[in-house]
Amino acid sequence: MRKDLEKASDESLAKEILKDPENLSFLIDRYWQQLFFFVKRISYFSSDDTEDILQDVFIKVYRNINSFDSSYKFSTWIFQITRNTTIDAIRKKTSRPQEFSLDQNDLRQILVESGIDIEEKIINKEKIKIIEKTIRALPFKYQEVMILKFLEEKTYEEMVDIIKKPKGTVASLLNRGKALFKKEAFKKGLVLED
Amino acid sequence: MTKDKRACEIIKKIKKDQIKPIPKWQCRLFGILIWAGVFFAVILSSIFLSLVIINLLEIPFHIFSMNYFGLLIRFLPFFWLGLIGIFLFLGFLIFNKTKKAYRYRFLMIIAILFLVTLFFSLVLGRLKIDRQIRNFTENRIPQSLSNRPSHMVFCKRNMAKEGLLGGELMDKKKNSVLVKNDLNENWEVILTPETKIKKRAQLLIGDKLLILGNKVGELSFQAKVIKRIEENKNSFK
Repeated sequence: MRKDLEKASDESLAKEILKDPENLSFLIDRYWQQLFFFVKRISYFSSDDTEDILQDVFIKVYRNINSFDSSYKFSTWIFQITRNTTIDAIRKKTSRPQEFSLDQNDLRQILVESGIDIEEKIINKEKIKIIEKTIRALPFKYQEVMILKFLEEKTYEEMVDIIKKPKGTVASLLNRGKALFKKEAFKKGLVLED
Repeated sequence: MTKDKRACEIIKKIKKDQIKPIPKWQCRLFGILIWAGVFFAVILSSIFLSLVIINLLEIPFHIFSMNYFGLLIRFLPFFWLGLIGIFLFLGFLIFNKTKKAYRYRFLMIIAILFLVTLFFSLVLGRLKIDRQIRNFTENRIPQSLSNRPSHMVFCKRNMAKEGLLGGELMDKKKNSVLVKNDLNENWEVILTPETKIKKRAQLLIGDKLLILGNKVGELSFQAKVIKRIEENKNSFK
């Protein structure tokens, strides 16, 4: 039974969770890490705060499991709940200590996807700080779509459902975010030529 | 803290707080209520739009001596238009509460709501329900607010110079009829072989008429088109 549930699709796991809340542990196991990094990337919360948010997320998932619409991908639905819970937490916890949570690979990925070519294989500490500052200075709406697209590797359709905005708006947020990031990176000397 | 420990903690909290999933029927009911709200708003908009259309259709746009847009602005049923706006906006707000509303742009939602409204209002017109609704509202809503601004204006103002006369048929002669407007003026309306009588060939004493033509004397008017207004008699009072 345990092995079956480990391999079961998200949708059938959702049905099993309704029968027994203990089965939620399989879902937690499946999504914890992915959502943990997603929350950290968009919120800059500490690990403890992120875990608290995820606890709320999984309780919400359990409470609303009957409202899951099978026309969505389950992962999209759970990202949608996570995103909303994180935004609520950001509103409440602005004064809480924050830590930057994008690692060097994340930063490199964002740079590449934004069309910024960094020659060095390893970005030095100074540059990392500049890139971090540049990303953090971007408005949340741009950071969010860039993280979803470049780091979480979501499709446009999934992004539409996660951030609940029309496709055109998502695309323009992404383009504007990239352009703004490139512009700021250029100003800070990260890029030699625009 | 490990993942397993976290999972245990979450499940423990669910059990301790006796958290239960929201029942399926409740989720469905919520969805149904939202769509019922959208439908209700659209139906009300359709009713008001059908009243606008019926009012507009009675405006004699074919009077070439008058300015089309001036006439339109003058006779637009603003009360019904206002209500259409309110209910379309309400429909939009409720539609936004549906699960997938975010996939559509504002203008697209408004356009779709308007097209559905237009469709239903045409259906109401086709089934002649719009006339029944108008007759129903005529006695219940102050005329200054809503009904038949066109006819009210026609009959309460002397627009003979502009080619328009409205009033009640008082008398019939071979080549003319006597029409009394709301200003208590008795107009002799001259009929010629070219005069078209719309809606009914037979005019009866007491009929409410709209006459298009030319003023030819002090209280004399030559008719080009005579339109009999089928409506509740009270609407002219």
